[in-house]
Amino acid sequence: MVRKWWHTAAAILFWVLVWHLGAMAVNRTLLLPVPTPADTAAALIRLGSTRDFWLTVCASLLRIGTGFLLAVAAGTAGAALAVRWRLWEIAAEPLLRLIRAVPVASVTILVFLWVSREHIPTFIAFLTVLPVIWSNVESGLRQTDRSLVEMAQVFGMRRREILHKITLPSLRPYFTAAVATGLGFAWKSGVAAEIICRADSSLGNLLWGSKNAVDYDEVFALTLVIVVWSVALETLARRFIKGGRR
Amino acid sequence: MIRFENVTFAYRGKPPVLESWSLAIPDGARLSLFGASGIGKTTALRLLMGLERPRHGRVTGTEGLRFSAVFQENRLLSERTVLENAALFSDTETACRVLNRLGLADVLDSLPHQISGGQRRRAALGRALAHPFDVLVLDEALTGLDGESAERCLTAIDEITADKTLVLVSHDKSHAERLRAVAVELGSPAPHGEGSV
Repeated sequence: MVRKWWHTAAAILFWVLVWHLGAMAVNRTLLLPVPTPADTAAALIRLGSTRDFWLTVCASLLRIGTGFLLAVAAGTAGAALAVRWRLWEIAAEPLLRLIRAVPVASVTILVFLWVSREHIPTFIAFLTVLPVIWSNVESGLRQTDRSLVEMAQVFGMRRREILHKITLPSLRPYFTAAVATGLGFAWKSGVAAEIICRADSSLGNLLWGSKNAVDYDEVFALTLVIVVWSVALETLARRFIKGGRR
Repeated sequence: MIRFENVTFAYRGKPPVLESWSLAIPDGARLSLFGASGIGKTTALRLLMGLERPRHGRVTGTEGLRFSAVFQENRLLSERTVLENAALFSDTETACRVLNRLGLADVLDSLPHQISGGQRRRAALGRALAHPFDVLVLDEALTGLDGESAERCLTAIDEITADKTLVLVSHDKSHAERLRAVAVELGSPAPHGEGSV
């Protein structure tokens, strides 16, 4: 069933209302500073009207986006090599398991010793996304119908054409899923790394500063910005890949 | 002339399917391989197309030849239409003409899962006939077709392969007879030694 746009809008409106009523109730009874949607919107407008805020958003996007793109390139290459050479697959497997298992916070603190503060979010985004892209691309390549490749070879199709007409279309759903999931991971882990390492001119650092200033309106507003960007990036990635298919 | 010279072939961990098998196929010959199930008919076709390498012996005379084939499975691309599949190795105009001859004019823009099994089989045959080839290999190409469709396909194969080499496997001997293909039985003494068609 196709969900209409106003279904989503109504659902969002419902939860904003729940948030508003909840915040009012907590503020009144527990005297805890929980910003209402209106407080958050006001903080958002205040932040959005400054040039520095947008520069900070761009810096975070650039930093985390670089890590993501590097992971897409390395993950795709690594997976292709693993499908081609069993030895490389065996050698890489424990490393990928390790990367998947280590918590972002531990790695962030660890790499502080070797990587400059500004590059840590890039490195963390790279490490988080690498196994996602790698495993999906590897699955996609292994699922490529060998009988179709064989058929194309009999008909004298060149290797590059086989890649373009048979392998890549077969890989596309796996790649799309990996990119969409990976973008969300990259963004969230990247911002978390920015908070831990206090990278200059970053959303994470801004969030940390707001928390220290006990400006919870701004903390909520910044969290909202992070969530909106996460959803927007995932949607953009899906549309981009879908568009490339036509 | 294509030659199988004392070819022995076995799949990994299995006993040999073909043993010291020799056969000569002159250019433009029509040949039908028959024999009991599992005797090595499809294996012989795979060796001919270069998809398998003999353990012993060799297959010569295939260098530079353009092959076209219908496999036991249709091997159609699921996200492409019937016409796009048929035009994968040729031009759209030729593919369209061949598909029309095979009675698929109404389903050119359909995806493989939207048509019947018989139509998919004909689409696979259309792809093979539209491709410019020197040797056409048909492995049970007309299986599942009704009498009228099979006859339509046989006519097209007969005309398009007029001056080409044709090697086929079919459980229906009448198809081979209709195409005037010389029958070679695998597993009998004839193909062993220096058989020639």
